Amino acid sequence: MNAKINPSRLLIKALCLFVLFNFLYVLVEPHGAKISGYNALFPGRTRLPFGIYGDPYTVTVDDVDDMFASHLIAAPRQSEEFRVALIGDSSVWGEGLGAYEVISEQWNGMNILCGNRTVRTYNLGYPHPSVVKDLVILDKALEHEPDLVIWFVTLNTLISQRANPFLVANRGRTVDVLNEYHISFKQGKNLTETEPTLFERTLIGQRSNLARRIKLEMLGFVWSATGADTNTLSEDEIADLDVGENPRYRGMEPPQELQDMLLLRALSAGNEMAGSVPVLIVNEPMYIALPADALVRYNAGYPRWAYDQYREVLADRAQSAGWKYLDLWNAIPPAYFLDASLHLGADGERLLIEALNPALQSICYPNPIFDEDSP
Amino acid sequence: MSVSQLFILAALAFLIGQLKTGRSLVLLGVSAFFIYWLQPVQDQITLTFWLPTATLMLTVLGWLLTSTEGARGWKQTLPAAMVLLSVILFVDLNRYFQMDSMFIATTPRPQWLAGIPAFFIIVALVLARWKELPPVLFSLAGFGLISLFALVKMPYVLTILFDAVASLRGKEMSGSLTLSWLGFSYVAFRILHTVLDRRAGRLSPVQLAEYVNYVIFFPSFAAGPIDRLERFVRDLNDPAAIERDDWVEIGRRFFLGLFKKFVVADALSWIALNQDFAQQVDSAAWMWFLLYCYSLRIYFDFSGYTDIAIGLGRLLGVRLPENFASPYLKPNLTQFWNSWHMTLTQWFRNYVFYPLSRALRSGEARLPVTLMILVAQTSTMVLIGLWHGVTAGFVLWGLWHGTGLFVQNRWSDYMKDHTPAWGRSQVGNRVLNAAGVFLTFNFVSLGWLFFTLPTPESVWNVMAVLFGVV
Repeated sequence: MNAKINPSRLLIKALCLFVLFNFLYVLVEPHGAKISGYNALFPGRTRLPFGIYGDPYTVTVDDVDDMFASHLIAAPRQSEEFRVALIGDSSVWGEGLGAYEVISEQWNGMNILCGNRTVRTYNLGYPHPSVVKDLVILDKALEHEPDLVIWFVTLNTLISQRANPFLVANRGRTVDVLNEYHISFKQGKNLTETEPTLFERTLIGQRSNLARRIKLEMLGFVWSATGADTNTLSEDEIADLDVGENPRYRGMEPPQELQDMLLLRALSAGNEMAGSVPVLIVNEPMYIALPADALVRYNAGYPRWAYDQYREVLADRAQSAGWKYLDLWNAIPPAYFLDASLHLGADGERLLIEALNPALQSICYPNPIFDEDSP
Repeated sequence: MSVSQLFILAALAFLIGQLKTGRSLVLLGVSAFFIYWLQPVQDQITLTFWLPTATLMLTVLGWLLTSTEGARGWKQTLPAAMVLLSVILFVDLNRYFQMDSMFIATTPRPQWLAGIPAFFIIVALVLARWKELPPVLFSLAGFGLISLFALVKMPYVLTILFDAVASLRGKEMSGSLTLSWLGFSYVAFRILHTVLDRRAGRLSPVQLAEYVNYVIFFPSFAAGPIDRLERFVRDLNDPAAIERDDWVEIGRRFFLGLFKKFVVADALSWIALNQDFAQQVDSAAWMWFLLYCYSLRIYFDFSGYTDIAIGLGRLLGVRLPENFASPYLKPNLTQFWNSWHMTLTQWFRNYVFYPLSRALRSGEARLPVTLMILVAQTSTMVLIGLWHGVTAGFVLWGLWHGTGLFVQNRWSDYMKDHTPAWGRSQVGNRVLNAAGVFLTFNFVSLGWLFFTLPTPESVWNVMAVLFGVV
């Protein structure tokens, strides 16, 4: 069978083809073409893919186009649909919750009407607290023509100046957003100065991204078969609710002023970016320890001094800028949280929806209910 | 094993294959390094050093036991012994080099290692007292090895033992102990083959380097196939020349193996049935789909490694035996087992099935032939199951296949005289063959449930979904 094959020539041809394919990949950049089995072969996912170590259902795909291609929002828009994009961090994404327990799915289950259209919410939360990351996702979400954006923020979201893996993976889009809206981001230089090398753009250089994209597509079978996109927490895995008494926040102690560290400009940029699409900014609810345990800290994430400052600054800015703003920081009792920070259980999500519904209704049926004392 | 590690091994195999002298000793050193390099880090950190060391010690013990006086001369033995000790010492010295990415740095103090050659010298001196070793010694060695094998496969017993040792030392052990002893299943069965053949007088004595190379030959160390000593040593001492066409075949096997393992099997592993998925799926169609993915995954994974091993072996001039021959395309279970993990099946056929069948036939209480076949097949398959691990699931898997083989054999016998006329035509034969392939594949796939799911109860639950009982 192999009598006529010359091994040396075979090897040289194979090497040539290998090099050729790698350079072709650089030239064509096929990762720009988003082909996905989701919303065609498989139903779209109810939230963006996010990998958790050791969880067989998950994979991290940081490229925002790939993430959206697998999401339900990429499916053809239903007529008579009032499309609501929910943006935020892990609390919106639904850490510890099943794919159908998350805020968007519970909300959709209520079949709420907005005028003569049915409200369909899309969970576009992603577990990196970063307002710049949120802006990149908002930028992408607007391609899918939402009628309303609900943007959940917290102190960690606004103070983060880290070029996290998501921002690095979407550096082009991130830099465009930062430049267009004149946002001063501490690690922005890291993004502009770290252009991918030629090797990183080849097939071999992209092998990890490609493998994760392929895995995401393969997991479409699992998603279809199980309706699960992550292992959910069992009772005994629920985190310790001890909030401690350490007054430090990110290495800072009172009377440190936080105002200049908060990327409030990004929130203005989000409103500008959305244009005519209304944006409702929500200070997300958090676990608040019982008063006796919360003399120094509200919860595992925030000492009182830092969070109080943040809340005041955000409320002032929202009022002066005329944003639609809802402060739900203490809207959910601690028993509804999965941990001592920001992650709600399924019942907590339901309470959050109930807290949000009046605001949604007021947007559907305009009525000036927004003020700093809401809800 | 990672792709880069396999490429390094391929380069080493190529270089060693080019050597004209000292090949056997270099191969010995590389194989010994290999078992330290790839040994997974253990919870009990020092075991990461001691498990590969124990592999080498067991192998040398196996050689001492099966060799004869003529093969134990200092001139032949000393170089191989020095290579092995040098490797152990070098790995042990990693406490100073701190090459954590290659070897474990938590190793015993070098003076402890002096005990290793001392131990072997004493064993050799004791054995040298006998001109001909008493058969009971081989039986004892075989029994000891099987006991150790069983112990390694029973994490719950190991945990109790380690607990006891820890408490004797005034320490406390946390959690259960799982021992991941790289290649031990294969090592034990290679050594056992030599001990049993030596006891039966069928084994020609070999030198230390030949024996250890056979047991720890790096291409086949972690995932087989299980060669036979005499055949291996023939190739080792007279390596097959690599002709022009052989290079193509070597490349084909190596890269096909990489593709099967790292592309097909690894991709299938994302969607193959596992305990998590099994609990979530309630549709029969999806459950079958995930189960088929598991069946294909296990085949591509294992046969991929075999292809790589055969390719690497060929680079070294050793023609390792084939382990798979399109098993999922076989029309009955007997043919499946003649083409799935063939070297292990052959091992059990030689050392369990045939002796057991002979014993049953010659025993005083003569059993009916049908019952004898049932007992022999079921026992063999249960033991093959236990080779994978001592759990209820593996016992049930063995029973599943043992019973399946028995039923299929009876059916085949019956059909010899009862095949309808249409079934003898070419088309009818093809239809029956296709039906046989379908049935066999599904029977084998259902058997994998005992492999992948942790309890018989979970297997039952999945079967209920598969057949629409719930």
